[in-house]
Amino acid sequence: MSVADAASLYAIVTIWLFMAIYAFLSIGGFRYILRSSVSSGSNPPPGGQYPMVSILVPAHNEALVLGRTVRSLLNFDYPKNRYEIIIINDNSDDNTLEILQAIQREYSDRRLIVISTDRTVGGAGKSNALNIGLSVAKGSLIAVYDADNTPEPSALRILTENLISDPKIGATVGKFRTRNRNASLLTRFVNIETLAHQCMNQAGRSFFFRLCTIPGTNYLIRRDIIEKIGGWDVKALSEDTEISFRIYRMGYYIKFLPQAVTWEQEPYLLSVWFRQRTRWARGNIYVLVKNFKYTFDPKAGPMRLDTLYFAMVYVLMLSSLITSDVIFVGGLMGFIHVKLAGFSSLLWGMAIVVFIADMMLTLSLERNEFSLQSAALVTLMLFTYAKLWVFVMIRAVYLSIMDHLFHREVKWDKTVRYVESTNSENSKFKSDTMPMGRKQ
Amino acid sequence: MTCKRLACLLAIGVLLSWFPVCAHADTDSLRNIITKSGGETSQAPQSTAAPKTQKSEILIIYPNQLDSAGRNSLCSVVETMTYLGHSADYLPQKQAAERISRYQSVVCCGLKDSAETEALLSGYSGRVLLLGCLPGTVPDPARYPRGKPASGRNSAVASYTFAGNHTFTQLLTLDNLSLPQKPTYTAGSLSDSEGRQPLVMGWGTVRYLPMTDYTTSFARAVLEQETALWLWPYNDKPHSYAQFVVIDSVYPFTDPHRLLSTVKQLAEEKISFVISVMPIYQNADYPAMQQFCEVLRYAQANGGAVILHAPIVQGTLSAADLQQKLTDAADNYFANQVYPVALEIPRSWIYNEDLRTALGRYRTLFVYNDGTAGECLDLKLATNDFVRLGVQLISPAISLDTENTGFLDCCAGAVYVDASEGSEKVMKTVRAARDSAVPLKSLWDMSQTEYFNGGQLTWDGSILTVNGKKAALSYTPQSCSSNHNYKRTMLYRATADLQNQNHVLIVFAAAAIGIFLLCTYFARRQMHRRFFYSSGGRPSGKDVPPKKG
Repeated sequence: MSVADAASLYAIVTIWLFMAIYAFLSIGGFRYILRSSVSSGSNPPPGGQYPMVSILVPAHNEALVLGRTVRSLLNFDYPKNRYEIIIINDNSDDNTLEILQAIQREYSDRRLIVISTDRTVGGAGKSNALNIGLSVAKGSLIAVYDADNTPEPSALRILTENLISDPKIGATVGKFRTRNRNASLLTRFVNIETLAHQCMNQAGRSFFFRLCTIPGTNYLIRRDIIEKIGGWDVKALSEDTEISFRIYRMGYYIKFLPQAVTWEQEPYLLSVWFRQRTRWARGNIYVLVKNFKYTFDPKAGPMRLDTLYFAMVYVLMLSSLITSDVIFVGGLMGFIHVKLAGFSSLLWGMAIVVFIADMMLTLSLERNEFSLQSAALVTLMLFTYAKLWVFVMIRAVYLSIMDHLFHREVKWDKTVRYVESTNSENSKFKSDTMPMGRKQ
Repeated sequence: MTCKRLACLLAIGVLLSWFPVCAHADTDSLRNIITKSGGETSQAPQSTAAPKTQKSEILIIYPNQLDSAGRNSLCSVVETMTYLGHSADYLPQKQAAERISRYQSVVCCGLKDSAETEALLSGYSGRVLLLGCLPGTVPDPARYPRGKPASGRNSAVASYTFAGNHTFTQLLTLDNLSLPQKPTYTAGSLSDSEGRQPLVMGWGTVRYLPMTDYTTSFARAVLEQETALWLWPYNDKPHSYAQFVVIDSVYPFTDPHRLLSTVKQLAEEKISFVISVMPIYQNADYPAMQQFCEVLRYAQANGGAVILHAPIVQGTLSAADLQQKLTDAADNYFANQVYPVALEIPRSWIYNEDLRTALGRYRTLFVYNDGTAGECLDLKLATNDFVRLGVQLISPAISLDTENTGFLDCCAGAVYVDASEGSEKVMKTVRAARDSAVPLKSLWDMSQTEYFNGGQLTWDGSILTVNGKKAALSYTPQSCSSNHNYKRTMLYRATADLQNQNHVLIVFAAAAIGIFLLCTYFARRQMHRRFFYSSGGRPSGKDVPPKKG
């Protein structure tokens, strides 16, 4: 058996293994979301006593989007006197502060706190900004929203009601959707990707293992958990993943609530997307390296499955994808010849069909997402967008290694925002924000 | 995202997107396409019945309505021409009429209507071979004797003498048996209760054989011999060809001792022979292969020559795939100092134009009967110009006796013996071949050339050169490893052939697709119920239309 044969076999086995895993998770996710869709997610506390919630919104140069976000937060159907909004205006040099001050004047009766930091205190990333916000927060529950999010009015209430209904729940996370999905082909891909990710990874893992990862926005966490773990890790670019692992290690679990929806702006330029995804991947690699030791620790609880899953994705899947592409290119150029016999081209075609059917399954659970156009996009995605992730991960691995070797300080790469058009498409988009299956 | 960037992205993604599960097959097929587009081009068979350009000097005319028996016979006739070193075009009667004058020789194969045959040949002045039919009344009765159908005469005992005065008889069932007069050439005899007449009759350059079925050994043999004589332009006899004894389809896992005893006997009796070995693509380092090659090296050094048997493939095979397989197999034998100098191919490959580029890389090709019949003859192609490859074609000997001995010397033949029958049976066949009138020949008496991917083998009669280096044919005993690591782990088993894993994965993929589709359908139904009814999937009172009256 030559090296090429072994590498080829490894790539084939690994990729089919992941296909089986994702198929398995998709079915679980399907059942989870379908089950959730028959209820509004509402679970009012006995006596109608809602806890105090502090909503933290870190913002750095978010003038283009922050106004809309804050107004959405002010529009929650949660008792108005039982939540506060803390905007951490982190070292912004645009007119973010002016916008916030204008909103403060407009909503002077509401508890809207703006903390402006400079380079001395702030400008050190999202985790640092959240820690600053935490220091002035009064709520016993902490909610986090990104500056580009426009959550639905019921989101906070659903997250809170479910969190307080079970003391074993350490955090609740909602669903995020792409607000600007029609901005470009890239945002359409991202829209499909986010839906698939939340169906398979969030809902699927929740269904089978009660495992879920905080997505960085639209989540609610107990304040005492944050204080016990010493706040958010300022070194982590993926502070959400990092905190998820710590919640599980503490014996809590995270509940996924697809009824609590927020809409966010996704990058529509490839360069912006690439930088954002690289940051996520670097963050996940950092978290994985930091927490992999718990994989073999029985006391770590179900978190071990998560670290194993992340390790498989970032090590096995990445290496197998790179291996297969190298073998393909090498074979085409005549440098590599694989002698594996008997493999079927039919299988290649069926693998594509499995992927498309899997994606369409996740889209069938969302209104206005299941269509022939979506199927075509999914097919196109497989051959284009999916391949980009290989480059993202390669770059993330490279940068992580460089950071480690040269002890470089991790810098937060801010996602560039843009002004969305307020056309009829977006208006129609807004009207689809009613939760599914809400009982009258 | 601009359109230009998207186009670049799409191009890169499509290039890299060939799913890794099929990287092997895909890269090979893609490389073949690139190689083909840059170099050789394989031409698809012509869809028209008649060849656009006349490629041969022989035209075979068959009936407009051809049944399977007729097709099989036609195939035999075309093949006979090929073995005799001639290319032939073949056309139905209605198309042949306008083209007949372009050919030097015409074969009328099984034409049933005498009048039509007469009309077809009217005015034609070249050589004519009539198989199973005679023209009716023609202006030149000296050239085409009048055929008078004899009723009731449809079976007779045919007798014919082959090389070395060996006479064989066969009961034939004949259609359209005619009684022409005064032939200037006769051969064989045809006798029944009513009388006796020659089997083969000729008038000048016209020959007549009454048989229509040329799939039997006897009829094939008569056809071959008579065709060789008919095509020979001189008054003397055509060239005599030798025959080769081939120990066929020998596998490395057969008993090497049995093969060795056969080889030793052949060497002792100084009989030249050929061993046809099956191609081996993997595990060439196993002790069984080394022992097997030990015997082959001994055979090489003692009058034997090794040839490579073509891979046995289910389904279609491209020339590039064939060439790669042969290269891999040859490399494995070369690594064990065994040098196959020719290739053995199934007869159906003679008709396969796609494989010509691969077969043309061999100087000598042995042909064996693979059990196929007339279905491999492409009537639309209307020509078989295999001989234009310029290879030395060695046909399977037509067996007329139980020993499978060849009795024809009009073309090179191969007497195939099955090594598994035991050395006694093998030697009996070999001796019968040696003692026959057709001489045996050694493959080492002919120059050989083979081209592989990245290498070649040449034999010029004295020096064997393999991939640019001189190779020795002398035998030196070598020891085989006794503690060979067979690496029989699951990993190696899985690597060897993924075919079984294919089935599992196909079943999994089909099941996954089915489940996904079912779930999707269920989800869509739920969506419809939820958003097209006002509450809970049931129409509310307001939605029910009021009753009339």
